[in-house]
Formats: sequence, structure tokens, C-alpha cells
Amino acid sequence: MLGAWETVWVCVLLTLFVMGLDAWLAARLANKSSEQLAARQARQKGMQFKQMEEVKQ
Amino acid sequence: MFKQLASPPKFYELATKAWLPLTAAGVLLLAVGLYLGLAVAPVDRQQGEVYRAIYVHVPAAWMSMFLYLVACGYAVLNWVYRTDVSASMMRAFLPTGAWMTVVALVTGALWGKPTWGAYWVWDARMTSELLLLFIYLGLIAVGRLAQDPSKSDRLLSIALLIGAVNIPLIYLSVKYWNTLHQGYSVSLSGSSIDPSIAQGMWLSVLGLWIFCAGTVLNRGRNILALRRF
Repeated sequence: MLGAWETVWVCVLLTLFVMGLDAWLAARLANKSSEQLAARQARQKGMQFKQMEEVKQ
Repeated sequence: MFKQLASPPKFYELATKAWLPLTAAGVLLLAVGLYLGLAVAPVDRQQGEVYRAIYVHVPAAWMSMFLYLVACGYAVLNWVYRTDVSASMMRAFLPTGAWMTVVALVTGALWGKPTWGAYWVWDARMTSELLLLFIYLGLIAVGRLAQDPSKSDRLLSIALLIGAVNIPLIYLSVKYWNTLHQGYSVSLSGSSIDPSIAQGMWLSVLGLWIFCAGTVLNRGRNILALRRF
């Protein structure tokens, strides 16, 4: 069994770890959304290019 | 103001500006609260040093219930207005709420061993808090069930509101059941905790609350961006 101060420190460190993990997981979604945005912009650019080619032809 | 916050671009802009300062301020306040709790507050006459686990256990336990209630507020807004912002925010609260419930349960168990002689007892307060964790996990799963976002949002709103029944159950469990968990130390009429111990706890509560607000805003804006891009 843990001693009194050991118990307290384990509780504090666990809380800080979970806070960090939650913040990291929340921030990780930003990469996903920016990847999605970049893919969408690339699709739009591709469509614009295709339309321009069609107009030229 | 409400209309502005319901507008996805406005909300995204505001959340992008606010999340990091809120998260940092929360960590700072929590650090001060923990310093007061671990280094300044006197030792408890009955429990000894181990009582200091309250500086993380109590804020996490309160936050687990509070975040659920705010998510329910967004569920109602989503049910009525069906905006992308309310749907994203309703989802953003769930992981943070689940993590806070895990912290409350584990720190409570760690404190319980030297104090009660057992990590876990099927006490009304602890059992209802464990039920809250299962509800959070169930809701995260429900949010991913339907392919159609509007269907999924409505399903999640209903499930969130049904699960809210557990919150008063947790709160009142120490009043109506004969539990091992202690009764209310803080109520609307005042606090029975000595100010020298309470000040660090209040700062920790405030710190964790602001931290959670920052994290949830960050997750909410990212979910919103994923929905709209």
C-alpha cells in the first residue's frame, strides 16, 4: 500500500497526466481538420483546372 | 450575442482566440491551488496528509458532473436550433467529462485504501459515479453510430438528456443512502471546510474548470471544422 504522501503525489501526477492527454487529444483533431481542408482545397483546385481545360477545348 | 455564437465562422474565430489563454490560465490557477493545498494548508487531524488528495479529487468529481450538465444544455440547444456549433460543442464535452470521471474514480480509490481500508466499495456515490463513466463512454459510442450527422446529433441529444437522470442521483446519493462516502462539505448555505484548507481547493476547482473550458473549446472548434470542411 502507498504511504500518505505517495498517494497524494500519485493522485496529482495522474490528474496532470490526464489533463495533458485530454488537451493533446483535443489538439490532434486540428491536424485532421486541416488535412481535410487541404484535401478539399486541392479538390476545388483540381475541379477549377478541369473546367478551364474544358473551356479551352 | 447568441446569434453571433451560433454562427460557425464567428464561433470558430472566438474559440481559436480563447482556447489557449483559457487552458494556460487554468493550468496556472491549478498550480497555485495545488501549491496552497500541498505546501501551505495544515495537516488534517483525523486523516493526516492523505486528505490532500481532495485538491485533485474534488475538482475532478465536480467537473465530471458539471461538464455533463453543460453538454445537456448544448443537447437542448441542438434539439431546438440544430446548429453545427451546438452539435459540435455537445460532442466536445464528452471525452473531457469521461476523463474527469476517470480521475475522480481513481483518485477516490487511491484515497480510499488508506482511509477506508479498501480501494473500492459498492457505495451509492461511487457506484453512481462509475455509472456516469459508462454513460459517457456509451454516449461517445452513440455519437459515432449513425452515418448521417443530423440523425446522429438528434440521437446523441436524446441519449444525453436521458443519461442526465444520473446526475441528481450522484449528487443526492450521500443524502438519501447510508453511504461510506462523506456527506456534503460544501452546499449553497456554506462550507464546513476550514478556510485554510478550502482556499487551495477553490483555486484548484476554478483552475480545472477554466482548463476544461479551454480544452472543450479547442475540441469543439476542431469538431466544427471537421463537420464543415
